[in-house]
Amino acid sequence: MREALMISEWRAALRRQGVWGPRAKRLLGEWTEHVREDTAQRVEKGAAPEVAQESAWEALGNPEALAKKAGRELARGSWLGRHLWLGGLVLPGLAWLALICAISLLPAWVASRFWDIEILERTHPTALHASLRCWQVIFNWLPWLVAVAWLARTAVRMPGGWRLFWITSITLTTFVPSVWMVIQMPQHGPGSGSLNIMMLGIFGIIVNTVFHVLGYGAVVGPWWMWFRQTAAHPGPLVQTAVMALGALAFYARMSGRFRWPATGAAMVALLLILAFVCGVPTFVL
Amino acid sequence: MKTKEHLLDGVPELLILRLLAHEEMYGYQLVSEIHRRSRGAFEFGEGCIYPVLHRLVEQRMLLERQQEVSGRTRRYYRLSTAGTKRLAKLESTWQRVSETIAACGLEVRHA
Repeated sequence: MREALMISEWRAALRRQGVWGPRAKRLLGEWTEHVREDTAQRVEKGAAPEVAQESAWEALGNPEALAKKAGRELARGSWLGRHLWLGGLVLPGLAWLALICAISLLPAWVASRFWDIEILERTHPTALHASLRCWQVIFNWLPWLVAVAWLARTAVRMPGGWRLFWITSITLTTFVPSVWMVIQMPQHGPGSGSLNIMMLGIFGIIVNTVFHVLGYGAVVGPWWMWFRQTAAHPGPLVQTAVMALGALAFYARMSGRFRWPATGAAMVALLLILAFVCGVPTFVL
Repeated sequence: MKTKEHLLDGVPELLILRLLAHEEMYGYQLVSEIHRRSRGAFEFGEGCIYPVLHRLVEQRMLLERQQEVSGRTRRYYRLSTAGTKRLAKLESTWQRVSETIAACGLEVRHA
């Protein structure tokens, strides 16, 4: 009974440090065996079994301190755990940038290398438009899917504990939904369509601010265009909401710090903020 | 001695490899041996030693086997070839560091 209770306390403490799965199972097994060995040694020296077991548990120390030490040591064992900012901010940021560049430039290069787009637009408009739509979907959604997979991998392995998880979550939630491709198909004959890559989210704000400072505000559009663009194309909002709420829900569930009033309120607040950012300025402005 | 300082970051690994160079040991035995041989100076504790052991097994520096003893499952660890090389490298680094520190101390005394 006491053993089961202690194991459950260790498990909860390990979770709070971001350690679960096979790593936690193995540690729990070793610590349990350690206490049994210690108890047997104490009994051999003449202690009563109950007293010996209690002393062995106490000798192992406080579950929180034990789990904290284990979490720190496990993080130190991996590159990502040792380099939280490089692994959580720089690496995902660069990978995202490389993927965006590859998706943007590769099809454009292939198309310009092998076909004359203007001729293609006249001879095979349907096939060209279908390809463009496909490109748009890939540009807008593939980096997000890769980011979600990356975040899921980080969540399963937790190489750097909760800190790395949060740095990666915030980086990906900020970067990934911040560029959005919109292709307007030609409606008034060849050459009448357009392709725009919009800077949204934090990048949108930065780009708009820089352009305003430089005096080119009229070219890029006023700052609130960002809200209107987001409202007109809800994809980035969906991506942000899924990643942010998913990360929050995962933390609430796995860390054992799930408290309905606080976590529920945080989630509702996040949803309201996103809805406000997206919706209210559209009606007001 | 405080074991939080960065100076001691690599010490648990070195101690474990050194102890296992002579004979195979199980977790409890290792923790007790470190405590006994360091005369209580190093108190890395079970929160540190077991994760290091598991990492060394993952890195194939250590080999492990399980054995039932009086109803308990002991997990014995021993050094692999890669572990032996790693130990030699760590010892050489440690030797260099300690010689350099000693030399610095001598220079100060002469000055």
